[in-house]
Amino acid sequence: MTRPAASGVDSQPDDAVAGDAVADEVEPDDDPDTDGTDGTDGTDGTDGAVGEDATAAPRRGPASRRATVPAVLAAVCVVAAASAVWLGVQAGRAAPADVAHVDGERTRQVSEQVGQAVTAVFSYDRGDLARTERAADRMLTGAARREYDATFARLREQAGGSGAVQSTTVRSVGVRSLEGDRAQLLVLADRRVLDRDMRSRGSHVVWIDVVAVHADGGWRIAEMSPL
Amino acid sequence: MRPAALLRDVVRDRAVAVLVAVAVIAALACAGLGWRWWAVAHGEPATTAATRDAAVSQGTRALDVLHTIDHRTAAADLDAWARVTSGPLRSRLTGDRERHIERARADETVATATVTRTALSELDTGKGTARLLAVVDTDVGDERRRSTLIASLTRKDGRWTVSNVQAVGS
Repeated sequence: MTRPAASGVDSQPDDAVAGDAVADEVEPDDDPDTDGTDGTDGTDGTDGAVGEDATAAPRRGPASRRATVPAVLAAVCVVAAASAVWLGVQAGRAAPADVAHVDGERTRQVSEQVGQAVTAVFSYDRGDLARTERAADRMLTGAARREYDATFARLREQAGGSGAVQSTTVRSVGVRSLEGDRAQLLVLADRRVLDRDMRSRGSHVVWIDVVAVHADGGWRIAEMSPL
Repeated sequence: MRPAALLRDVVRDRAVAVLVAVAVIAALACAGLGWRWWAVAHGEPATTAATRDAAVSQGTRALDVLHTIDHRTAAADLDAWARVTSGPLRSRLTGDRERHIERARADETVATATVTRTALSELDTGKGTARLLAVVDTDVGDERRRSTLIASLTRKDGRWTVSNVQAVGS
């Protein structure tokens, strides 16, 4: 009755040996060389079963506890390791990825530089288009650069057309997100067109969605679209 | 005596000793990382970011409310306006309350708003003030109107409210 249960738990070779050692201790009369314990089990079952059970209980205790302790420990290890990994991930995530207005210095830098870039590339004097083009070279990149080139080519074709000077003043810059080397901004600017004799020909407000990327120590506009 | 003996027995087993060591190391790692998580989550960057996100979402919601009015529920809508505002704007709106309601009823106004874009241009977590640039599209009947504005936000009783609005001509 008790032996098969104990040997079922004692699946490991060490424990099988340990189990034998226990058996040797408690039942010294048994032949120690016998591998098969069926004989003793048989006698356990037929002879004073009740009397044997009383002594069998403490005998089973240490053996099954020996098997239980590693199992529990292994479970504890698995749970603790999994918790550690989960906590590590949470700790990593707890720091905000978006540092807009959190990192004040970086937020100020990106809004200032994007503001300057918008002012520079949207302000031009037909008499000196090269200056604006140089500014575009410095401050635009990627898609913004390509689109700007197309617009600028048109502007050059109609040189001498309406408005001699366009001046853009940035009124306010909002930083929507700032993650790593990429920022999303919203720029509010006034655009004023002036005549050859510097007479204003009207102004209007423009809202520009901007994506800026940080490269070579400065922020450049990678994408922009009017709202 | 028995537990001590059992412990000695158990530790003598190498596999068990290794498991105990691993469990202790993992538990220590848990404690360390848990503490780190708590420290980071309660650190200044995390709380500032949470304040910023609250300012943007509550400010956006407030602007949505302020551009919504239905002549059939005008009184309730005006109450909602009062709830999302503070300071000078609130005084102005409560002063003009009856006029707003009358006008909405007279024109049978039904206006619903969509806040198209918002961006924070300033944030002072200490003083509880912020400035929000916003583009709001309002559907009034079949007509869509765009308002572009700069809203001053003020934190009042733990909530961000609009304390002033400056319309920016478009």
